[in-house]
Amino acid sequence: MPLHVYGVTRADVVLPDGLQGLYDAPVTTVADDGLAALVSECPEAPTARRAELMAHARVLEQVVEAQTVLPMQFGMCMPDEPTVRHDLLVAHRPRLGTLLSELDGTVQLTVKVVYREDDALREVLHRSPPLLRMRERLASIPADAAHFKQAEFGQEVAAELERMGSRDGTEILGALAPLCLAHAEGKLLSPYHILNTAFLVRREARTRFDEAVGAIAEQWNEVGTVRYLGPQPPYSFVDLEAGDPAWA
Amino acid sequence: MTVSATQSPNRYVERPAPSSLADVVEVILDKGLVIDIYVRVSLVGIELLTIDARIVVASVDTYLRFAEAVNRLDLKDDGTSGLPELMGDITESGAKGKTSGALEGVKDKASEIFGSDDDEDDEDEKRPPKRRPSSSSTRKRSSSSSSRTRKKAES
Repeated sequence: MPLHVYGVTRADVVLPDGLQGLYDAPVTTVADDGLAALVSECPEAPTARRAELMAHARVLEQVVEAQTVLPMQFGMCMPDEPTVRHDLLVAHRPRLGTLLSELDGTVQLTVKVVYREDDALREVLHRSPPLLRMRERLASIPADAAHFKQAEFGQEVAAELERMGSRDGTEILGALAPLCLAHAEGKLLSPYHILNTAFLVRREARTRFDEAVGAIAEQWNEVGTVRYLGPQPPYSFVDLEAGDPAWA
Repeated sequence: MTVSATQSPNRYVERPAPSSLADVVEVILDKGLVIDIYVRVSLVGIELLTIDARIVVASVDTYLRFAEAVNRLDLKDDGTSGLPELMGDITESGAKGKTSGALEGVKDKASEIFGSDDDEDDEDEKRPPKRRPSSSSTRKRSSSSSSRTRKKAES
């Protein structure tokens, strides 16, 4: 039966009791010379429904609680145990070994800060008297005559919102960056998303990081919401060296 | 979803929480190690999902939506009229699910695509993130009067 691969750890990894993966299959290891792949049995091509995606993430999150693990992208299925051993562990031993040493003792913590629409827009108006005046002027023009003016006004609002978001985002990043080893910025899905950043943090620095995120949540409480995710495996920090054709 | 915030006597500490479906989609399909020939899963639909989330920017419609959103703001609820009303207003609009429009879209899309065999956390996924830890939002509200004062003083 094919094996779904979750990630790679050191061979002395201790898996949590009863760890279950995709389709509730038990997670086991395939080990070779100090490295171990975390795997579970799966069909030829596993489905990517909510349950499977969540199972993949949960397995990795449970293992990373106590041990360093290099996460694989979802959907890596290898035909059998010898293939996992050879095509993954043996073929990529140097790179996997290096990454495991580099990332030893670290976890990924992700911080997402999202403005609440109304509160953020209110703040935009507070900070910009010209926009406030523009709003008042537009209120006195009949709706059908104001179409282009409204679009213009909206554009100004959007620009001001973006300025505020990028300023706040930079300030938050500046507060957290000194507490981590590295950080990787993710996509911002809308103008209200002002931070979506993964931080690589030493396990022993987690408490300090928690406190710093707490302070940020409090400071921005009025205009937005802080979401704090983790500990995660270092998804954003396992990029492979350019020029290695075996890796995409 | 676990409660993600606690308050110690003199310090506000945030604790990280497990990822939701949208968070998971963002990382495990896009990041992590890959050996190309072994990726077997069909990712049809995933592209759609990412594109969907990004169309928010730069069209006249978008700007009109901004204008409309700003125009419907009731500024009398804000500022000097006092904090309790403002907070009540926020809670109410949260309950109607008006906030975080784009993210909401992604999540709905995600559950459409992936099916919702995990029904018990569906409700949780669809709620605006800020209301997730209900006990902590109470605390946040109670602590906000000081942060409000401070922020105003800074700006």
